[in-house]
Amino acid sequence: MKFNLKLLLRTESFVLFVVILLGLTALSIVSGQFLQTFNLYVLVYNIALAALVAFGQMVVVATGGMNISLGAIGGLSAVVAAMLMEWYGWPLWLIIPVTLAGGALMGFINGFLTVKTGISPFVITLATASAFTGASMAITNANPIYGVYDSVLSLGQARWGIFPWPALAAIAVAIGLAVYFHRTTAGRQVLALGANRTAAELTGAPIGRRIIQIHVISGFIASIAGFLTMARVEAGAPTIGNAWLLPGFAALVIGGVLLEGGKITIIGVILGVVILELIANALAISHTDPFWVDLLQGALVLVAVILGQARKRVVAASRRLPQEPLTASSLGGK
Amino acid sequence: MPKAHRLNFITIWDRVGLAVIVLAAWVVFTIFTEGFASQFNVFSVGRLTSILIVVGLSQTVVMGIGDINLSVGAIGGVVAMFFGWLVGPTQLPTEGLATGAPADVTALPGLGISWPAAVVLALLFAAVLGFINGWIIVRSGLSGFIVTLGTMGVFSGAMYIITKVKAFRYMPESFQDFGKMKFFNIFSPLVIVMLVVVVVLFFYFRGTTPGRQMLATGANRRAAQASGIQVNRIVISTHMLSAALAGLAGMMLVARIGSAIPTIGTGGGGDWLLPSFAASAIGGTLFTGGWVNVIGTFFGGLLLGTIENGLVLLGTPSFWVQMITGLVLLVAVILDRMRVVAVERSRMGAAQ
Repeated sequence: MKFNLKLLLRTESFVLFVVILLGLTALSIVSGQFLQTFNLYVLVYNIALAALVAFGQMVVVATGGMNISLGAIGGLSAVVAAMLMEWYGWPLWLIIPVTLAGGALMGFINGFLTVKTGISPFVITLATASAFTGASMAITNANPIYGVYDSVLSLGQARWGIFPWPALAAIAVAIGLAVYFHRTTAGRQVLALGANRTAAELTGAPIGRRIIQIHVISGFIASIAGFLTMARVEAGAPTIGNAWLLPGFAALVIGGVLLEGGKITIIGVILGVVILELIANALAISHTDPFWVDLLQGALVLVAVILGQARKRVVAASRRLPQEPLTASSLGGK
Repeated sequence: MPKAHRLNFITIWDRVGLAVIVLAAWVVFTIFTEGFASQFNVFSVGRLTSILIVVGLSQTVVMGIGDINLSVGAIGGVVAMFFGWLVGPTQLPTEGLATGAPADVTALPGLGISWPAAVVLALLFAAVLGFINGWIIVRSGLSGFIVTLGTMGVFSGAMYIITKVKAFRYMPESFQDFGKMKFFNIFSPLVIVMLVVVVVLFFYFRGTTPGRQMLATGANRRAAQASGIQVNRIVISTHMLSAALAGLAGMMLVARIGSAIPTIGTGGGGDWLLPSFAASAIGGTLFTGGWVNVIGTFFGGLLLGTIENGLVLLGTPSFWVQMITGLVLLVAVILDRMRVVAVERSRMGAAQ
């Protein structure tokens, strides 16, 4: 039975991989622009940024929670970094750690409030999102800060062929998360509490500390994504991160992360991000209305979750476990 | 003695606390701003809060079944544009333009239907969008969060693509007059629309079988199903109700600003998502389901609208409104949580 499940999971990543190969082939044949070095470089850059956003969401989803304020943290981090450059002229070696520590601090606030009040992370992060965004708006007076250092701009544009150097940050985060979730006790405890909180509590896992820790990680990743987006758009705009919610969740559900918590897949999320960015790239090359991106991402979320649910039913049937009746009863009070 | 007293205070505060806070806000703004109590400002606060209250109620009803609807803003915007298309003139006005010159390129022509009929059609259209939400939720067994996150992108994306981000700017005269109409110089008809919605929903949840079934579904889905309630049907109809309310709020906003623009509900003055949850949570509706407080959402929306208007009169930049709405939401849920804990503690004390 266990073998059966593994096979299915493997098939899932395999299906995503095939979809990507087909997409790449089709795009190379249809468009002469697609394989140009610059377009591929832009594509890889976008994949790296989107992957960071998806990872920032994934870690909280692993606990069965969510982080609505992910984009707000990214935006405030970008604004703070740009502010330190334009107004205070801090050296870069100081700005980067301060910015990332700021993101971690915002994550800590989310985690602390979630754990201490017992209120759902949805409500907490919805509220803190408005506070963080409000702070960005107050700092910038709703205008972008343009005084980003040339060194940051050239870092943002540094590339080796089609590989943008900033994408290394996404790779580092992916490896770091793989180690955290699969090789450390803390990471395993996070997955355990996501799968069954009471059981994890009974085994003596420090639930509260793990949830705070995961929110800190989420905020940290969001601030990396915010900083790199700032380098990319060449300004500390308070609107950075405004639209991170839908693509973040889209990558998770396409990749096969369980929204109820307890199961993550880093490879799956990367494949999901690649699919989303291939679509966005195809739309950009063909000069299609950019609003198709919203529509397609939304539609992909729906298709992916419905397919995922069907897969879960097949898995449950193959395990011959008593199955819940298929009503909305499984949604619970999230 | 202190325990009993405390419980008493809590019970009384539950009933009137929010009204007291709203009154206090009115007093503060009347003293510290110029023109808060002026006839014109009362009129604008009335229009603003009426919309906020209906937006809040569109979230309150889904919270009643223990679900959430992230697509309230998207539905509000889509329905507002649908309404604009129905009532807009078939020919864009060309007065004052050189012969042969194109009409306003940022505007779209419509069908020229009379607006009361268009309101009915637009509400039906909204209900269809809500049906899509509810149907997917029931069929897939997934949470409203992820389903309405998806449909939010689909609904607003489709609307932006179809309208090409143009507006329906030329509303019929009679509809524009409706938006500007004043009773006794201070009340907009939008206030009456809102009051009717509040009263109807209040009695719907208080005294009708379908309303009770919604709450039962929210309180304990399995128990509701076991007692013969058609849970799936309830989930779908609740989402249709939520969408209809969001659509109504969208049309009320069209009446207020005098044209149907694509960013209604999702952009411009900020997203509806936060105020919809804030109004509901301040009013005492629980995220866990099984309980709604329609009158609470009324006062919650009133408080949000009062704060927004007061801050604008104080000359505060508009983005502070969003931040304060978020903080008010946070304080409201934390206080509610503390209250629940306090009540439970005093009950346990009484039991011992």
